[in-house]
Amino acid sequence: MDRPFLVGKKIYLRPFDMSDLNGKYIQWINDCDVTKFMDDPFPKTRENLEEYVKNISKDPNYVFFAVIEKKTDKHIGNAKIGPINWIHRRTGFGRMLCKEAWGKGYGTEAMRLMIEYAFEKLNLNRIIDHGVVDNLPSIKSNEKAGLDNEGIIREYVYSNGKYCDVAILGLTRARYDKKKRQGFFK
Amino acid sequence: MGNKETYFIEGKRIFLRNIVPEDINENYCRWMNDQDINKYMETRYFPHTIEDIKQYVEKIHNNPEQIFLAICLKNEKQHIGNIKLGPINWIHRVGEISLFIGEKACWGKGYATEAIKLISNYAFYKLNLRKLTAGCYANNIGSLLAFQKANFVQEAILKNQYFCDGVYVNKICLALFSKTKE
Repeated sequence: MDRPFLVGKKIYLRPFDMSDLNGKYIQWINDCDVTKFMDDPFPKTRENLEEYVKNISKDPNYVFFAVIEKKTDKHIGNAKIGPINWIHRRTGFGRMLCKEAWGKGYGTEAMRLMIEYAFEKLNLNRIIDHGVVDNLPSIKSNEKAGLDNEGIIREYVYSNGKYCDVAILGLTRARYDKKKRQGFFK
Repeated sequence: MGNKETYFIEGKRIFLRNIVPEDINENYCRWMNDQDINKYMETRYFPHTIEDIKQYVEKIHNNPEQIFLAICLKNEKQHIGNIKLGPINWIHRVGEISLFIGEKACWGKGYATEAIKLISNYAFYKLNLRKLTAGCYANNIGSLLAFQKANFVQEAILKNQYFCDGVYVNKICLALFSKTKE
């Protein structure tokens, strides 16, 4: 493993390097299957990505990771925590995996690692993620990772030709502590 | 002028507001160079020009972990000193408080206590901090009393921590915990 920061069973998260931009990230982020439920519908150039990574890396309200498959040591996606609000002590999340890495529980594992990191290391009080209800695998994965399905915001995003409802998946510290006592988190 | 008279934090007799460029004047410069006033300040070792102070204030304004405010009298709108909350650590949720009253005529009137109480409430109720700390030179009775009157309690003594006018003196570590619900 190369500089593992958060380590799971099948994947680990390490700091994102500018050299990771030389790989297939540019292909994933322009792949309509990968971006199907993403908020940002625009095509991305290599310069766009460079700018994005530079900004997010120096922003103290974000933590940005490369997701690495353990058995191959290959970069398979990215994950981020943020924006963190340090007064309200809450954060959002983002993650993206290349198609080849889908359906193996990798995303769930990355999410689980970030949940534990947010509560145990960053001392936050609540975390939140949004998922378009049509994106069932993502919602299922978030629930498996330990987030609670807290409700629906109606027609929150315009996605694939229609206004879509968005599910709020979140976890408060009280619920996290409870699940931890039950052995769900380590 | 509006900016100088707007209360950012309002107390009974004083208010706290942002430092504005006009505050960095000859009067402020006089405070920083007066041996009675700077006796226990970490800036006392070298003389200060208005230019130095400008740079210092600019640096502090650019640091998101420091909140630096002017202490002003409500009646006269007079700037009498400064108070600082910082460095703040957002993960541990702690912050350090330091201050000085530059106008000697305003000493011994409880203004420092009032300023400490105001910024403490701001830290707990607005910034969601958990614990505030302060350090006093053991022989700086005025400062010690001001913090104690603002409900800070002594947590520790660091022996001979500071060099002050030819001798080593103890540092008294003070702290106040938030009473808001965790």
